[in-house]
Amino acid sequence: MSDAIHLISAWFALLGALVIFVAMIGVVRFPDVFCRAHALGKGMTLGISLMLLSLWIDQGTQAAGLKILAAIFFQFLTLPVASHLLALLARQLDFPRFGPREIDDHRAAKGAGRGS
Amino acid sequence: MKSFALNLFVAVIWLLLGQELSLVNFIIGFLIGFALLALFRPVLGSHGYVRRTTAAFLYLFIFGKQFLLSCWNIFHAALLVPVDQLNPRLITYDVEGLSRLEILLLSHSISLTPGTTTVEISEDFSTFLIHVFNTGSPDEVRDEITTTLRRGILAFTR
Repeated sequence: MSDAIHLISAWFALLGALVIFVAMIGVVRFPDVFCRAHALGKGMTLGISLMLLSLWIDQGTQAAGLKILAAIFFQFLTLPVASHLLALLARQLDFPRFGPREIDDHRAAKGAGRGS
Repeated sequence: MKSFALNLFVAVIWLLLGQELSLVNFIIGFLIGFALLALFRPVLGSHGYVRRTTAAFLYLFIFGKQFLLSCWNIFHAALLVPVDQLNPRLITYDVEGLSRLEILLLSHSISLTPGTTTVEISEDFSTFLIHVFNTGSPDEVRDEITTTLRRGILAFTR
């Protein structure tokens, strides 16, 4: 029983490490700040959550209680804010951006649709 | 709020009746309380509470699915797609008429799901500027956000 739990927890930790690794490959490979913020925001959230989950499975609710669940919850609360702030700062400082320059505005699109 | 207090009350009673104080027992008690509230909706006036809670859990489920899906997309792009074939761009999204809380939840969800990150919110809280990562047409992205995230959030905040 405890062997099985150790095995499951090890697999979760490995999966989390892999997820973070792939996210970091993304950070290196992606062309601009905004795309990197994507990789950071999503990859790190999932990776850290998986590793914390592995810790939870390993420790059990007896020892760890719900602390780890709270930790996962706060990861989900804070990491997207970090990635949003990165993107906001990059936008305000007008960093170079990959892809089409113009912004696709829903109001302009609607107006054009009505006009034609 | 009254319904939630009632639900909590039933859970505490269940804990007192059981042999041991444990989390599992508390959750069972809470579920029983919720079932009672759902059964006696007309008498207890807990229509709103039951509807909102189920909608919130449903949204959590939808959100989880979307989150894993978008992670998969990012990893696929990170490993397999050549950099010059990525198609990132900025689009706007209309959030007029939503309350501050709904805007907060929506921008948070957008940051974590379908290949999008909220970049900026206009001064008058009426439009998001969203960075889209490697997806099709801007209208498809807007439709996806409206049908999955926005509808799910509005189901339990209103």
